[in-house]
Amino acid sequence: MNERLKQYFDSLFEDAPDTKEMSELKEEIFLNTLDRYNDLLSQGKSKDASFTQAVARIGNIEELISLCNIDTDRNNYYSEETLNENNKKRNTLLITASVIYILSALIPIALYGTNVMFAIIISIFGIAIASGLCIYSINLKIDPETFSRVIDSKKTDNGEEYSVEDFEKKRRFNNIVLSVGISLFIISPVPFFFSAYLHEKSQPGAGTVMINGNVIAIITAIIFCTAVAAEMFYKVNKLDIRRFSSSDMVEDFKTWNRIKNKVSGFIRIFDVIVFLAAAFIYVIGGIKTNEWIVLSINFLIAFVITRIIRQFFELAKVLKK
Amino acid sequence: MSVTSDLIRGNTDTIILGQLLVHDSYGYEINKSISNILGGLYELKEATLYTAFKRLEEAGYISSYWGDETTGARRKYYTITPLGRQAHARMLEEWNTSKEIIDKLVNIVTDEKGANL
Repeated sequence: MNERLKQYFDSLFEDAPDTKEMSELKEEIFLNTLDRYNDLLSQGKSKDASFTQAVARIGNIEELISLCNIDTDRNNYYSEETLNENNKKRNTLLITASVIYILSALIPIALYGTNVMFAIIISIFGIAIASGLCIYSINLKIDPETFSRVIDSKKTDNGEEYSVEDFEKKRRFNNIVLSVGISLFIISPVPFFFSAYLHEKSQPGAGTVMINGNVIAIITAIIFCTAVAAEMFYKVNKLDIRRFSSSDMVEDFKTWNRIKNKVSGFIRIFDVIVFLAAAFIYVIGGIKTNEWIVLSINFLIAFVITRIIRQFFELAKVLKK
Repeated sequence: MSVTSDLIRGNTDTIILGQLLVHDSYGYEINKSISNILGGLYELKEATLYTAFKRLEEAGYISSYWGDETTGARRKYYTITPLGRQAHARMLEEWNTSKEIIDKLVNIVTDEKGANL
């Protein structure tokens, strides 16, 4: 009877890749099934009945085999850590570059003052590119929870599903659209300034206001669409894995708990301090120079600084390990 | 029962780690022990079990070794690591919090029903 089980397993694992991991898995399941078979026999069941029952409990072996393939896939290429590790280096570099860029973008204003339109326009472009870069690099990092969900959904192997590569591609694309959108958002007041510069008056013409309005509307639509698409994309994956709402709730709660614990209170205090400082500079500077629009950049810089602090703490955590 | 089985599936990791806290064990023994506790009401599928083993081993919560039983059958045993003990404690805590919350939510619903009737 041992032979019959052995043969059954050989045919089960016929299509499995010839790896050490796979042969170990095969042996493990085989031995456990043999245990079950012997148990059933000792309960007084016939050989045939025992065999059928033991084999029935194995379940979907193809799923398990494909799962192992994904696992090796993931280990070799799409490990969450390697993805994040690669992204982390790029992330730090890009953030540093974008901060330097933001600061240097302010140089023209510092040199010529806000009354030279040329300086303002250059500054706005600089800030736009830099913030786009910044947002892109911040979004490079993968949320482990989402990542494991995508991996899990690939495991379920039914219907139309996304692969990790698809997921990465989609994420990158969304990220690029978002970054470019925000850059364009920041650039959008340029026609205002430009027209004011050309006509040498402080009030822009009706035409420029209309163009500006349209540009802002289009950009908002693009950002909104990608955000909705991304939301749907995650939802599809989530629904594939957790089919019952009760379990879904438990999972969500667990996720929330984990995220809550991740951001320590210490870092939050820094956030508050930085934003308070930014608000302070904004108000004082605004009253003194009356350049409220230019000074609103303060908050962008504050945001970047909080991100850098977070990055710094994460780096410290990694180094500690 | 579908909710129960789903909750069990959702906590497979905690259940397996809990089993391994008692002593090192192998797949069939763990599965049998779970079936015994549940009195045959629910049976963990083998695929679910081995998937969980893989996941837990990857996470460093358990480690495996091939051992020989006195009867001479070769078996792959699993043992819980210190990291796994920590994880189990954390999962248990998470589960207890979730349980309390869901208990509250479910009770609200029945209360409201009672009030409406």
